[in-house]
Amino acid sequence: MKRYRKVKFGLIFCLLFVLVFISSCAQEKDKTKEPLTLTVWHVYGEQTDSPLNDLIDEFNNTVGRQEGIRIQVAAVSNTSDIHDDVLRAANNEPGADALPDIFVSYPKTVLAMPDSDILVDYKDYFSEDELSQYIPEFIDEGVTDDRLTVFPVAKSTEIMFVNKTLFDRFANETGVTLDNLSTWKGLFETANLYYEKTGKSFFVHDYWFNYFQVGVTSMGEDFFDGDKVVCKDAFNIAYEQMAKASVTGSVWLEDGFATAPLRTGDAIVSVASSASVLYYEDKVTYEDNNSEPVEVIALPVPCFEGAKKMVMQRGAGLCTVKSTPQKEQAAVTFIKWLTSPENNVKFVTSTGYMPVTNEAFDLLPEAIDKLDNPKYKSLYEAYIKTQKEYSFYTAPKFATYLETEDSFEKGIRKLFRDAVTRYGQNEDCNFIIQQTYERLVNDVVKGE
Amino acid sequence: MKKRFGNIAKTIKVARKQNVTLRARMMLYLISMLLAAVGITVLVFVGCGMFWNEEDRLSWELNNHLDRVCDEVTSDMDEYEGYAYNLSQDIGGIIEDYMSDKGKSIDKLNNSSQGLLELQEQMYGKVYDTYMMAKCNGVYVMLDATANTGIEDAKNSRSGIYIRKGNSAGKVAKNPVLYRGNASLAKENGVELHTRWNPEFDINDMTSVKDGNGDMIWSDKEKLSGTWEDIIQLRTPVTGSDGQFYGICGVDLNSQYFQSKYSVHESQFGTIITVIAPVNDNVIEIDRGMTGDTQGTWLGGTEELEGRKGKKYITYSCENGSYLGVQKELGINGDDGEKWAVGVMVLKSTSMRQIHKKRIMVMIVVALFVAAMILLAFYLSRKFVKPILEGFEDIKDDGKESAQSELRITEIEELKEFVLSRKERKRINELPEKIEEMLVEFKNRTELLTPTEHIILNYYVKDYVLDDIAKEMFISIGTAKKHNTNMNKKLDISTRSQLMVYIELFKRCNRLEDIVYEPT
Repeated sequence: MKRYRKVKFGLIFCLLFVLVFISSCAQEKDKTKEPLTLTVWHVYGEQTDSPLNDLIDEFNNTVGRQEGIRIQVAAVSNTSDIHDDVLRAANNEPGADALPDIFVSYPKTVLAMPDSDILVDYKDYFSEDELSQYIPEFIDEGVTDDRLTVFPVAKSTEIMFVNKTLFDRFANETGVTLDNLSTWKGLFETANLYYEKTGKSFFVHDYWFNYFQVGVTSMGEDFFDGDKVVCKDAFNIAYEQMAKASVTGSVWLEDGFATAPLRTGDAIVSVASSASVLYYEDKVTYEDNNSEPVEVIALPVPCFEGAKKMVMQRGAGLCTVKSTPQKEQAAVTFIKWLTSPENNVKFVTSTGYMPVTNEAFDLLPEAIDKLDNPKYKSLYEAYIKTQKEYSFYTAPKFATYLETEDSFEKGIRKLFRDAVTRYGQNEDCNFIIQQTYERLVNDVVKGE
Repeated sequence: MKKRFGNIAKTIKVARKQNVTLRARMMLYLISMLLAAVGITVLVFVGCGMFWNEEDRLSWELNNHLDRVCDEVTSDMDEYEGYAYNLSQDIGGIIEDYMSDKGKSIDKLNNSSQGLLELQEQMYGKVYDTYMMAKCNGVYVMLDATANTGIEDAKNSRSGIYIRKGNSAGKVAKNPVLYRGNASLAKENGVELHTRWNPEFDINDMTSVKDGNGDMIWSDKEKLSGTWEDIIQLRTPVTGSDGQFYGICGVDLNSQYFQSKYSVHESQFGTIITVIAPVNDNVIEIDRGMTGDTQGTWLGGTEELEGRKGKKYITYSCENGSYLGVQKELGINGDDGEKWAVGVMVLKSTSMRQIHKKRIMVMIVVALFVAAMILLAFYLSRKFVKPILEGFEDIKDDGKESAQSELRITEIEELKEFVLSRKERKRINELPEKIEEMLVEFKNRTELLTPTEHIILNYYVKDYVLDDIAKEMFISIGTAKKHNTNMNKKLDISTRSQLMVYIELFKRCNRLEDIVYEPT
């Protein structure tokens, strides 16, 4: 009897506890799950509409919502600024931002990091079978120290953009054709002619470093000896072809990207990344605030006469910073979603890139047919022609690549701006060209 | 260490052997029962949310954070307003001086590209200085004039300067790019053109531009034309000393600025986010305002949060979930004099989960406490009864087990001692069976005595010797001896010593009355 009473007491106590427990739990009604938020720094749409931001919104509202992942864009920038900010953060410099979970970078940024082990090795998250779906060269490009740290999501190349409206106007007067722009020699001669006719620059190159790098290689010489630039015969040929046009003012040499002079009509032809199609506007605005609509077309880049047709292959990838396995897996989920054939084609055709998987390449022609914007259509026609006729050049990977590129780019522009000023002061053109070459080799290339 | 533990164990052992009073045990038992009852009450109250209410703590945490954020936002906004005010004063002065030099009024600058460029060149330094000092995303001056009234939509076109941060990455101040202004200005000052550059402003992009009669206002969130950036602009009228309207100037802050400036605050109830937005009735319109970092939530900055005021906090609802938070009015002017507020909030589901988790933790702790108290009471009751039973057993066993009992109760020990001593006394008082028999037989034999012999026995009881007995009875010694001999025979004794042993035995047994003769 006594035992029964004890059991009864215990049961009542347990029942009371369970009742109170259930009643307290019953108050929770809102089941919205807190998302795992990943921050991202990317480069797709700086100073313009960002197609990647739109795709991120799509991911957040679909797969992300289902899997409790939210991608938050913390910065839309460019690879150079991201390189600086990543190194600043990785070196724990005072005032530096914390590294985001995902950032866009070239392998050269990873190589310059004090410890690249802070980045995820994607081989831990992608099976051999999954990786085999991607273009092998693109995957290889992202490997540093035997670890896949830069995952390809889109690849670009260099393309020539022409303001066809203004070019046609000039062509009608002079009889030049677009064929004149198929070689560097022809392009610079046309530039000189344009300058003579209009007093304005004709051509602008976003990457003079690549002009020399790819040009020298296409002529069969090495541009680099280890991590140093070497100036031999091919370098001299490349220099001679661009020098006269640059000294006389036929080439736009201000800092900044080619989109600016094409926007103001200060130049009408540019060589730039195919991804810069996003930034070219379909109008030119003059100083008196008058604007005119223009047609911008894309063509394969010029090449050197007698040299191999070669073009730079570009395109950064996504790096993921090591954190928790959940966050790393979430980042990989996003990357897999972004590089799935349909999404990848949608992404690249809105940003001027090429896809990174074999299957996406198969879907590309259909996607190009559906493009409304003639500028984008022209770009992909030029891209296909480039793929058929050109071989792709990939920049070497070494830690000081970016500094070398940066100092060359700034150095050569400054040298030729000075040269233009001297030419305007009636100094001898050949003398200026010779002196500028010596300064380029000694001050910029050798860094003396 | 081992020795120390040994000492502690010894002390406990000794303490356990110490007698505890019954009253102390009862007190301990009652206290444990009382604590168990209190625990059950607390359990019920906690379960019903009437006690240990985590919602109070959430409210405190939210209010505390709100105070901090509100001070920070107010201070930042005041600073930006200060910069904008100074810029408007400086620009007003520059324009006035320029007009005075040229003998023109502002409307005469229309169609004067050169004049507007000169004015932009003069203003650029102030605009650039403000950009570098204010650490904002952009600084602008929009003049009430256009370079070309002949173009289509010229009525919406305004000349001016707008410089902006080229990108939103990093905290390090970077050189600006020219978003609006004459392209020559960019070349002269070594800045790049923004990708979406235009020489002039389109006032359609600045929806709340007034004619200059208004005060300084903060615009609603707007898309920076041609870009992905969401910005709010501080718009300050630029006027001359005579009150003539020259244009507007100010700074802009983009959504990334707010995201990095007002990062999430990690609390025990989840991540607390900050929103700064216009308030209409009970709705915080974050689609028109800005949010800080929204990590840990689904807020996209395009929602309207409808608030329902509770006792401790406001419950905000939108399509992207419900949030618990508090808000405070911000002392800035919005469009049309609309009031803005700073709100801090936490995802409702997360905070509720944390609150319930805590409540359940507390309930489990209290339940364990209650269980412990009940067990203690049970243990005490057993320990309380056990020594009593042991004591009874001890008493039954005449204290043979007493040495084995460790938990002893003083009162029981005293009772036991008392009962045992009494038993002992009783045991001492009881005679051996043979003696009893002897006494009974002796008593029976006294009944055979004659009255004279009984008298003689009485005198022996009073310790008389035979000579004295004869004298007392007024008989001869011979007669006395004869009676004595008869008495001895009847009592079956042979000497006086034997008789005196019997008398002593009866005396000790308090049974003298059995043998003393009472003459009737």
